[in-house]
Amino acid sequence: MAVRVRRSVYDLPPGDETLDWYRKAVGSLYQRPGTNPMSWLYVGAVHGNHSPPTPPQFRQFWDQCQHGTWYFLPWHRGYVAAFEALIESTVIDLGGPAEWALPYWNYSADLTQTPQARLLPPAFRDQQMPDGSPNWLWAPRAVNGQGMVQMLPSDISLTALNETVFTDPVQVSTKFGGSKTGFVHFGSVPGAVELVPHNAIHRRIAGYMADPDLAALDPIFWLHHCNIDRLWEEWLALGNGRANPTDVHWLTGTTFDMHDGAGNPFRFTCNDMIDTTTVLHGYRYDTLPEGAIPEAGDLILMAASTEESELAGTSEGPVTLGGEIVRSRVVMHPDLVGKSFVESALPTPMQVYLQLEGVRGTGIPNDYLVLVDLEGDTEPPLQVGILTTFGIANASNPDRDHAGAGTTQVFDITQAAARLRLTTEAAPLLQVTFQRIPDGAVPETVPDWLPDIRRAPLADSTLQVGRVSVYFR
Amino acid sequence: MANFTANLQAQLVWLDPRLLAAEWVLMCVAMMAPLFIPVLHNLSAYSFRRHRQRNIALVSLSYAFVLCVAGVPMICVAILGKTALDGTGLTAAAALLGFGIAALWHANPLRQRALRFCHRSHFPFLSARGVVGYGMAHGWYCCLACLPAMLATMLSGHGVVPMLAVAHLLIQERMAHRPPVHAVRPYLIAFGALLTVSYA
Repeated sequence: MAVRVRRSVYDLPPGDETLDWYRKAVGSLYQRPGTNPMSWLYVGAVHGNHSPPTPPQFRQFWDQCQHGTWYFLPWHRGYVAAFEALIESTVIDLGGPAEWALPYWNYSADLTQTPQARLLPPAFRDQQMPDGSPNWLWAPRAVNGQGMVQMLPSDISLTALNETVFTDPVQVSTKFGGSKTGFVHFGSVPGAVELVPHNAIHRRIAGYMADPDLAALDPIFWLHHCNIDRLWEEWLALGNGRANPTDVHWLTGTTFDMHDGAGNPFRFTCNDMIDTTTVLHGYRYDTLPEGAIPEAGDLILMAASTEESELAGTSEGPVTLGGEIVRSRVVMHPDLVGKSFVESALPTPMQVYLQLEGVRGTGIPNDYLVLVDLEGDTEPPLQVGILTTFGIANASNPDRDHAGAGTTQVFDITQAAARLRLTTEAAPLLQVTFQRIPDGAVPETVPDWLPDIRRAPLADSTLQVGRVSVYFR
Repeated sequence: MANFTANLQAQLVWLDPRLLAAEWVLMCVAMMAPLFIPVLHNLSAYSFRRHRQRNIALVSLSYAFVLCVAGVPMICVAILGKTALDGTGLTAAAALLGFGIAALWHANPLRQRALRFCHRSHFPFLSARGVVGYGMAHGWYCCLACLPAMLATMLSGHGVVPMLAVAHLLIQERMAHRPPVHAVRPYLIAFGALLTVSYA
């Protein structure tokens, strides 16, 4: 079987039937009972159970998605590949072509080359097809009739690709792929690519996509995750020391269970997910010709970032986010006054991180822009990132893997600190501003042909940051 | 009853409270210290440099305080158990029963929640009071998660072999890459039984 090529959804040639067959296959999977591993509802529950409680016989397969962990990328690679195999087998059953490949939605594409990149692909917009039949690619989303999604430039930023380390061994800083953990459904420190664009796009599309227990029921979920998977490959192809972890715990320490395209269980490790051409049926991306990813010959650089981080300042208490604008002050430690960290005399450039610790919440709270400035400064605050809330309720649930500790979100503010001339000498207080990102309107009702997913009403949305801290490295 | 009273008096005369306390501390250090090291590592990373030693000392002392307090009823239960069973030939059976109860407790949702708390690694606030509170809470959840297994170990004779074996099991569970599932752990029962039989 040939390695298939995943293409941009906006680069599919005229008359291409990839999305037509996708729609038909989704409709077919919807007709199967949710206990069938080859059904739409079952596959969705693998990411997060939309209809709890989980029956004992499915505990090995449901509620498995890995977030806030270094398993985020490899687990989702296996998940997307298994889904692609399932759609392919369904397409063949329906009389379609073999070797169906999942397209990806590159919302970050240059608008001069792909003017519609930020728009939801047309095939996903309408509830009905022109002949009045259901459009199985439709789902409730915060999207208008023209496909407009409220994407901010910071939602689709690819600054995560600038990270050269996959996982930070010290943990007090974000890196590309997430923090070292065991198997964890919702862990503590997401990687940079998980925060943006992954989490941000989930929240901006809203509807099913905003809730990890429903997200995989939205057909656009798969094009979104295909793009995140592509970014992993793009990141590796950038070279300059970028490489996957060689830690045995990552490679083979944890196994994951799913069903393949024929409905048979299979088990994989991260080591099985490294080469996309050998993942199940095998695939590659159109933007990356074969051999584009350099050999990982400079693995020493991968773990180079082992310098100890030092806590330099903290907020005076937890920060409850509820209004349009919330401000918090980070008091820099008196011991460090007089020591300029931006113009450090250390042999390596010192980095400055803003860390939001113990971010906990209920319901589906809004995301917030995170900006920093100096108190009393006349310059406008500088945006340093987005506090994303995708999955925050799960991460805050004491009955989930992480005992409700919430998430920790880390932003590299070294450049902002330099622009602010943020030395402890001049600025004992750093002001952190949280600016709410409004949600778009999501249809409250779904058409009759979509299954009624009975869920307990979500709790009211709340959001709190346990501590806002600044770290030096 | 008269036999029990006589046995109890004999046990109390023979048992030195200092020895019992020392044994308890030794068992806590052997079994719990390896589980507590990651907490200290994370606490250090999340503390101001000048507060690190203070915070580590406070969290260790508060954690140890809870374990010591929990040791009092544990020692009493162990003494009463040994007293009641002394000369009956049922000591091994009691230890076996203890391991069985410990295994069942491992599957209890309350115990699962306690274990998850032990996995928590972030420290929202690190005032001295906050650190003490965290250490005591961590000690409390550790007790909830592990005391039945430790009691079974005591009933089996307080020996080094069962202590190390149970410590190994607890560490393995804490370090497990998959979260514990809600199921009885038959290997724990079997292991406990094996230990008890070999010890009896």
